[in-house]
Amino acid sequence: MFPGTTMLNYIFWMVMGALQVLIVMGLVEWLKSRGRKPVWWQVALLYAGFAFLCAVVAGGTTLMGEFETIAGWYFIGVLGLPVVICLAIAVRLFVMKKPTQG
Amino acid sequence: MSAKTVERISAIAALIILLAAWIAGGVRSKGATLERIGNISEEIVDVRQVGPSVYEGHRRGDAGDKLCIAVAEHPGYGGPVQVAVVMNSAGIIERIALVDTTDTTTYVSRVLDAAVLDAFLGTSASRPPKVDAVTGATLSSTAMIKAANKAAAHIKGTVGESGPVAVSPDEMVKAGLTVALFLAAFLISSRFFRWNKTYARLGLLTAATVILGFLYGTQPSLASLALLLAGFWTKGLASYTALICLVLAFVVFFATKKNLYCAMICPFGGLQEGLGRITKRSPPERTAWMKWISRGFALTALSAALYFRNPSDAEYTPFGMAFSFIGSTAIFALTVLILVASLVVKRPWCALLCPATPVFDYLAFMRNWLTRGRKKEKQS
Repeated sequence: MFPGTTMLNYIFWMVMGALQVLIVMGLVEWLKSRGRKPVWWQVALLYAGFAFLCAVVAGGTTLMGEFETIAGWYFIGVLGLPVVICLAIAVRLFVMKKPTQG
Repeated sequence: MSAKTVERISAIAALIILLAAWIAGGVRSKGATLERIGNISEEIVDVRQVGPSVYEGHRRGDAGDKLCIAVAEHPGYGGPVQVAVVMNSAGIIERIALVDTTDTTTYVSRVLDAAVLDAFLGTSASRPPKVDAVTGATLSSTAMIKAANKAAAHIKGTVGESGPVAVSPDEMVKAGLTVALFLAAFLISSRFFRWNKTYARLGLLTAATVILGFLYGTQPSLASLALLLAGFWTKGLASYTALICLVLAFVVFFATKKNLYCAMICPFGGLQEGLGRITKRSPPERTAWMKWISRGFALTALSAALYFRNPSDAEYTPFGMAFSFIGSTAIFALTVLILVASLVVKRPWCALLCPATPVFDYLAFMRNWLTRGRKKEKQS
C-alpha cells in the first residue's frame, strides 16, 4: 500500500483497527448512555455493518485507483445503498425502540 | 400583485411557452431528414428526393457513381426509429445510419455498441441478413432492424403497405395489469370500500412498486407526457403501457378530483415511502420555493422535449435508474441521493423535483379556475 516504506503498512492497519474499535464501542457506549443496552449479537451486527461499509468504500476507491473512476462510484452507490438501508433498519430496531429500564 | 394573480399569469405563460416550443420544434424538424442524410457521409453529395422515402445522390468527384438512399422508420419504445440505408449501383449496402430516434439514449447506445446495424453492411437488398435483437434493449433493437429492412425494401421497390404494428402479448398483459391497478385505486378511494383504507393503500402501492417498477420497469415519466403532447404515439409504439398509465392517471384525477396515481400507484413513490417507513419520517412542509423549483424544472424539460422532438433527452427523473439501471451517471448519483434522503425525509423526490406534482397542480388549478368562472356565470 505504501511503496518504498517498511513501517507505514503496519501503522496504517494498527490505526484502522484502533479506529474500528473506537467507532463501534463508542456507538455501544452512546447507546448505553441513552438507556439502551445492546446485547452481544447486536454489537456483532453493528460491527458487521460498519465493516461492510468500509469494504464498499475500499472496493470503490480501489477501482478509482485503477483509473476506473465511474465504476468506483457505481460500486459505492450500488453496494453502499443496501448497507445504509440495513444500518437504518438497525438504528430503527436498536435506537428508536423504547429504552430498557434499569 | 397577489399570489393568485401570479399563479394565473404563470399558468397562461406556461401554456404559451409549451405551444411555442411545439411550433418551433415542428419548424426545426422540417427539412431535418435531408440534412441528416447529407451528414451520413461526406462522400455523398447532391442529395435529392426521387420518391417517397427514397433519395438519390452521387459520390463526391464522380457524378456517374449514383448512390441510392432510403429512409424508413419503425415504432420503437418511445416512438419511431428512423434508419437510412445507402446502396450503390451494384445493389450492395455501403452505409447504414440511425437517422432519428426518440428512445432512451442508454438503450440506443446499447444497440449501437452491439453493432446491430453493421450486420447490414455489404449485404444486398434481395438478401437481408438475419440479425438478433439485443438483450435488454429488445424493442429498440427490433425497431432498428425492421427499419433497416424496410429501407432496403424501399430501394428495391418491394415495400408493401405498412399496417398497424402488432402489440406483443407481454405488452397486453402489462396494459391489463396497469388498468387493474387503477381500478383497484379507484375502488379503494371510493365510499364503497368498507375495509381499512390505510392498509389497502399500502398494499396496492407495494403491488404497483413490484409489478410496474421491479418486474416491468414501466413507469410514466416526463418523457411519456412529452410523447403524448408531441403526438409520437400516433405513429405507433412498441409499448403503450407507460402512456396508458399516464392517461388513466389523468382520467382518474378528473373523475375523482384526487391524485390517486401518486398516492397509490407510483412505484418510485412506493420505494421512497417504504424507505421512509423504516425510520418513520414525516413529509417535509412544501414551501413556495419548492413548488416553483419543481414547476420550473418540469416546464424547462417539457419545452426542451417538445422543441427537440426527443422526449428522452429531457428526461431527468430517476425512475429508470431505480428499477432498470437505465440512465446517465448524473441520474445514478441523483437516484442514490434521493433514496438515502428517503431515510431522512418522507418522499423527498415527490416534494422537491418530481414533475408529476406540478403537472397535477397545474391541472387542478386550471380546473378550479375554469369551473369557478362557470359557477359565477350560473349564479349571476
